[in-house]
Amino acid sequence: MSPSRFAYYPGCAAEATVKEADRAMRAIAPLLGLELHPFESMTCCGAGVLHEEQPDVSLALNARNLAIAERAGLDLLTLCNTCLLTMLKAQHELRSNPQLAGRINESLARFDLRYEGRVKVRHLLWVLAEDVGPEAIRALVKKPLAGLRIAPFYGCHILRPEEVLGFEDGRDPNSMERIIEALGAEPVRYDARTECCGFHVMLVNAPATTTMVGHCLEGAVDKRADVMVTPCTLCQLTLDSYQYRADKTRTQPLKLPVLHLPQLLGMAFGLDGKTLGLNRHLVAVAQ
Amino acid sequence: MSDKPKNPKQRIGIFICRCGGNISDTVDVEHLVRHSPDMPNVEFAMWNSFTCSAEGQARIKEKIKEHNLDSAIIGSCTPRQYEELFRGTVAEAGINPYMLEVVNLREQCAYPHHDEPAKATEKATMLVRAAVEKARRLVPLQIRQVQVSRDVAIIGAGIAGMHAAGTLAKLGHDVHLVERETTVGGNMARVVKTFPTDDCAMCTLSPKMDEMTKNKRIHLLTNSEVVAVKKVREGLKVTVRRNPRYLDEGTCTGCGKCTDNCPAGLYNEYNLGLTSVRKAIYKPFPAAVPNKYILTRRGIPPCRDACPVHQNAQGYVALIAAGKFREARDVIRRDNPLPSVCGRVCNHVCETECSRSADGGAISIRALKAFVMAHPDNAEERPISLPDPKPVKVAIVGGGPSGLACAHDLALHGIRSTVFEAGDEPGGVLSLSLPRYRLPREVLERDIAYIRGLGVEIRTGQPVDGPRLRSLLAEYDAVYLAIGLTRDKLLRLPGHDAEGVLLGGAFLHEVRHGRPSRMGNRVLVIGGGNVAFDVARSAVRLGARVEMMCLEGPEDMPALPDEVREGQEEGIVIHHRRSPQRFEVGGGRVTGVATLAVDRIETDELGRLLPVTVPGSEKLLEADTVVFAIGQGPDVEPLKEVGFGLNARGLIGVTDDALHTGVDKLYAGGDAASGPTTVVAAMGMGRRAARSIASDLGYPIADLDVFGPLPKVEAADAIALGHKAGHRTEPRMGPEHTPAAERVKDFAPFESVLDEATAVAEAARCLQCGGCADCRVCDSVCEARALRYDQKPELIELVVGGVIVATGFSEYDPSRLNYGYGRYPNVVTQFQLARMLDPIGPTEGKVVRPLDGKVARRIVMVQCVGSRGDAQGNKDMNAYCSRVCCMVSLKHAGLIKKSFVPDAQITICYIDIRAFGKGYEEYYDRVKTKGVRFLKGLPARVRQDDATGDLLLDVEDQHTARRIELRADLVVLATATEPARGTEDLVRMLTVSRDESGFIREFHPKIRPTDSSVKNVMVAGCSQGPKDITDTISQSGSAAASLAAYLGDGFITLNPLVAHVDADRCRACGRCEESCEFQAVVVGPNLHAEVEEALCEGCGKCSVICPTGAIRVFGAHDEQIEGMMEALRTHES
Amino acid sequence: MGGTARHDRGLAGDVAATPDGKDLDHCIQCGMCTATCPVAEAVPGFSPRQIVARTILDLADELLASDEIWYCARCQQCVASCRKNIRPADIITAIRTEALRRGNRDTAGARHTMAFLSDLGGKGKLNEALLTFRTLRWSTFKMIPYAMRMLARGKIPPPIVKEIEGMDEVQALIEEFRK
Repeated sequence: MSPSRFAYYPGCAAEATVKEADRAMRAIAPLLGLELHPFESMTCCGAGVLHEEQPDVSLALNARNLAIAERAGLDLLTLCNTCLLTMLKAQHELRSNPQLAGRINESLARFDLRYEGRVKVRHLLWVLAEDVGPEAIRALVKKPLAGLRIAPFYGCHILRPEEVLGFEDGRDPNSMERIIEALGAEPVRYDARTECCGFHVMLVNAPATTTMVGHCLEGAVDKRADVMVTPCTLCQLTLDSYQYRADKTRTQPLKLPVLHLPQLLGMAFGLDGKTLGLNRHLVAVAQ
Repeated sequence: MSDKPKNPKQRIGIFICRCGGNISDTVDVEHLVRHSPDMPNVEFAMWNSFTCSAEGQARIKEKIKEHNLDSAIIGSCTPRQYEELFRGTVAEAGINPYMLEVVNLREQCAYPHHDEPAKATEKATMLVRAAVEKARRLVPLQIRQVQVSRDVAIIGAGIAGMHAAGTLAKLGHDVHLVERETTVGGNMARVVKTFPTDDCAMCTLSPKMDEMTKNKRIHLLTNSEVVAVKKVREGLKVTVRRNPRYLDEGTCTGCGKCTDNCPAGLYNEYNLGLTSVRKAIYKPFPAAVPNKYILTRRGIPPCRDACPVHQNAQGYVALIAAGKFREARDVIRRDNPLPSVCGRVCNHVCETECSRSADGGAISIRALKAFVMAHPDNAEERPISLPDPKPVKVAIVGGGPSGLACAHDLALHGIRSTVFEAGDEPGGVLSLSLPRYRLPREVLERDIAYIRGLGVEIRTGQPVDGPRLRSLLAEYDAVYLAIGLTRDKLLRLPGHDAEGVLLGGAFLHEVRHGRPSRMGNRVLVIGGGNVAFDVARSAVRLGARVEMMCLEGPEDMPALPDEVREGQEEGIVIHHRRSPQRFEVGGGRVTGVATLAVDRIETDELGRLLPVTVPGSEKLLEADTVVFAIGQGPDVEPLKEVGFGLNARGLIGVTDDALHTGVDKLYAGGDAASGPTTVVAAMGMGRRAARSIASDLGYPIADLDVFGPLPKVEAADAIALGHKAGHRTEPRMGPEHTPAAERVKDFAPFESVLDEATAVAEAARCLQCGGCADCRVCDSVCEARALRYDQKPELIELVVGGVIVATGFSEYDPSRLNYGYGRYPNVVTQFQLARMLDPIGPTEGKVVRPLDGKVARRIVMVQCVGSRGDAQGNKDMNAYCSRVCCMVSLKHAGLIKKSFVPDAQITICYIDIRAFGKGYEEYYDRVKTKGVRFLKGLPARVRQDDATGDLLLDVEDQHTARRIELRADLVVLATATEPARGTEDLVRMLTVSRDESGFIREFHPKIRPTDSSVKNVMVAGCSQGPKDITDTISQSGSAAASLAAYLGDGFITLNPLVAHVDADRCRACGRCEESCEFQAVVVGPNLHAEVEEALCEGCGKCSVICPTGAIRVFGAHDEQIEGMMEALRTHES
Repeated sequence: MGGTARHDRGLAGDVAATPDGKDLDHCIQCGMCTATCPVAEAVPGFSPRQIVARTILDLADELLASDEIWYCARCQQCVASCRKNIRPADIITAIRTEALRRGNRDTAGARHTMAFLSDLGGKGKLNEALLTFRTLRWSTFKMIPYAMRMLARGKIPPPIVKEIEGMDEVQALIEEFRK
């Protein structure tokens, strides 16, 4: 397939805490025919948190990032659900408030930037499900994950609110399942697959996050999942690193490895654990 | 600019209303009055406090007389409300009522501009000036009356429609009551009990329902829909389509034997599914009115639609499920001359098309047919009484499927025929070519015997050549040529004449008598069709090692998938995409075939295959026997001289669908005319030939047209309805096959016949796509002989003076919400619960979990499902409150605690309890004392605990500010009330307007709640908005009264503000006629346009389009409007 | 920045005046937000419905200084299930904005939020290493066992963050658009 080029926006987590997601992504990209172009000049999206203190600043900085991608004539690809939602909401706001958008563009003009709304903000999962497609993925599989029961965990900000995201049915999504099947594994169906990992209250209310992590993981474990996979770096960080806390409230530990989506593809494509950073998980991944 | 005012001496009076401050608080009325006199022709001006009051009107009349005014301007509130009144006022003062102009000072000045009085006053002044200019150009108008029909039509026979009908009938009107359903009663017939008294709904309803048939003035049309409405001089012409009941209402005695014997179980609409099904011929409930049955016919089932002989598969499958095997056989025989054969060898397109294909797997239709024909009950054929023989005779050349089918159908209609079969036994291809493992001899013989039993003479060993055919044509009244395909094709490749190169057809003939002499041990079959497999699989059974080669790939080879699969099971190796080039010969015998790979296959204009080979891809396939099975042609050489044409493919040419050949009395069909098809397709042509011959001979065969205009049923709809009727996605059950290793040992049939239990279970999977299975068992048990299977819809035209819309409501579909409705059986709606509470309902008055029938003890009711959503457009919900749901849930909760499950734990989750009516709050209080829990706060979703089937709901109890998890046996959704499906079409036809929620908009929500926007159309019941039975009754009474009041003695005053024609100016171009959507303008015999005032709405389209200005609308003449515009233009502030 | 209400309806008016909170007054207290809220399940007493109700009642003092307005995980379940489309999560965002504007800065949540502006204003990126300390101050020590585990997998983010290119642009935009 001819390579499709993207402005690559892994998100802060993948650049600092969960580097393995970024590594795995860079490893599988060429196989999938994706050409990734990182931009040193892009800021953090503010995760919707900056928006809480300074809505207009948040909007302006996101407009700047998007304008940088537009200047390069690229669509934008991220590994983080929250980056996805934050940037899509920004686009939504810029559309619905042309007057503010105008003011922002006046200032951006000084740095010879202009946001016109041409750039498409995409998540890896969407690119896989829509552009690449399960068939092409199946064709790339070297080590089919046959017999593996995999629990997809979508994460909130790639599903809700549908008016902003609108990629698939937020109550009953299936893109992850389709990809898992393409890799030769069996998707596990469980209620918590569309629920919240609790990342965004991790610091402010750790006990709440612990409960939420436990709830999500138990849902999958009860349905006899061998491993969990998520498209979101923040969900992975939470479900992996808070798992030991959830264990404390239980008789026996959950022991459910949580993979980044690019890692799972990498495994099926026959890449080695080192390249995919499987050694960086708190809950060990049996390879 | 337009002409001078009509009359310089005109005396206009201006009367400004303060409207008790509504106007005067904003608009400076004194200012208006002060400045009025300086306007032209204005004689007098004053203000009033309440112009609409008796006192205000008296003042106007007095001033008109006092100042001897000839026209008036009243500045008040909207003319929509008061113009009529004021026209009366001035008329009483002796002025022509159309010499009045009303200015809207309230809605157009005071209200919208209340925050800027100066501007409001200025606008008011401008409008008054404009009114003066119009008044100066007004002309007195004549008021006419017309007589209209006093009949009325009421659409919808729910409680609203029935009450209105009863009322109007008492008032002396003839009432046409049109109901879409098969019975009157509407939704009230479902609710079992009514709040606040807990009366039995049916007991209060039945008398009203009865009245609808007993009252001589009420003309009831059930199962009928309004399809068109046209405005006419007498009022409205309403066209009603009366849908067929497929029985004669007059004859049906309502005995119910048909229902008892009907094999088809369908979704029970009356009971809203749950665990109940109802029969295809049925009566919704015992008290239904009229007390007549009806046959549900949804359309042509896909199986039957696809079958070349239109075999009624659904019919016999339904009967098998009901254990009626003899009746099943009769249904099969109705369409199928060779049923036993088809049970074994049919290519069953019926199964390919079966709706179940997408829902667990197609029904094993073919195997079920084999089962029926082989069933001991059917060992004996039913004696059939044939009609008197007709004085004609037919010769049929060819004893194959097509010829036999033709003979069979002719015989059934009294036309004798003789079949001339060249072979030594009847059956043609069936006996000569089909291997026994596919079609056992005795199976074929049984069908042949039956056909002989019909008086058909079959002569074997009778080859027919040209001279013989000519003599047959002379001797018989008609000859059907169905000689099939008997000449094997072969490719004249190098070495084709070597020893061991055989032809498929001949090979199969020999196989009947044992191993073909020239066959070796290593067989290669060339070809990928069914014949090729017959050859190959026969060879396997003769102990040879068998390979096949064909041009096509696995995906596009012509043979049936079953044949391919079974052949491979039996060890046959298939070489795909190879094309034979030459034969390798050693010692005079073939040793193999040199082949090339096929790159692609092109086809010529005749559909012949032209393989494109890959150079250098040669490969040798070894064999000591090569059999050609690449198709066969008809052996027409000896017959040619008779003079029928051959088409480009070398087949017998037929000139039309009636299978004529161009040679007098000679017809042709079967594969010889169509090219290679299937047994059943050939039979189809035979049946067509029979019909063609019979009608040419003057004895046409009339087939009962059961389906009329009905469409083919869509699989998706069938599956949806099937599951509502309790079907689940169960897997297909087919007959068993002898393992390959065993079956290759001999020619014994390897497919077992289904055992009875399996057959009945498999048949029970059928979704009954068509509704009625057309088995006609009901006809056989109906002593009154009421069934009319070929009944068609009829159109009825009613001319009425007015209409009442009482179409009621439909229940909101909650499956789009997150409450698991449609996914978890234990989630139901309040309406479904009502059905459970009915002693004659689906659960006979037990409150159970539909999942397992266990008594439901933990019940959670959820309010406002689909109501009280976002007005800005939450697509999932309606903005309005449905008004009755709170009371319905209270009622059901109370009833369950009182009489059904006293120890039930019932929780009602609500936002607000709205017990608004008389005695309702007290009812609420009583229910609370029965121990029903009220929880303020709604759940957002329902989950199912798969282990127990319990339902789990998270909800916040707002009173204790706690979030709790509820566990329930039954979740009951209080679903919203929505306008009845189809309302939008009716509304369009009646040209009444709808509100944003889709209900019919009333003329005025407060003072004219039962009038619509059209003067002779009233609205009653839930079609106007959600309401309970009490309100519905009062409203429909009011609607009846307003309609009666409008119709009065039948004389209606016409609005004179309509179009009129200046005959001298009219060029009779007819554009006005085209432009008028009310058919009010016609260019008459005396060559100018004429206006039917009764129909004209005064819309003005005609006057705009008229090139000469001959047609104009009173009250909107150009000079009047231009006068007003000029006044506005020249106004200086 | 003023520390008081700008509208006569107090907090309700201020929230309803923002794009995030504009649909506040459509709420009919059906409670589906709380019913679907995962934090409400984890933290007894937490209720988005109540936060909305208390906002409408203008209970600014108890609400704006509270920790609970920072407990929302922004999972959007309430947004998806709100029958009136008032977007409860966005309303809580508007309340947070108002809390900071009125100077309620001494909660973990407030500190966590304010860290973003200073980080983005500093290097253009988030400093995940310092975020914890900024948010939790001295109770950061509670996180030590967690930190050790992360350390073991090399998952402690670097304390120094590389500055992005064009920081001047970013600072200019912040100055211009901050309120």
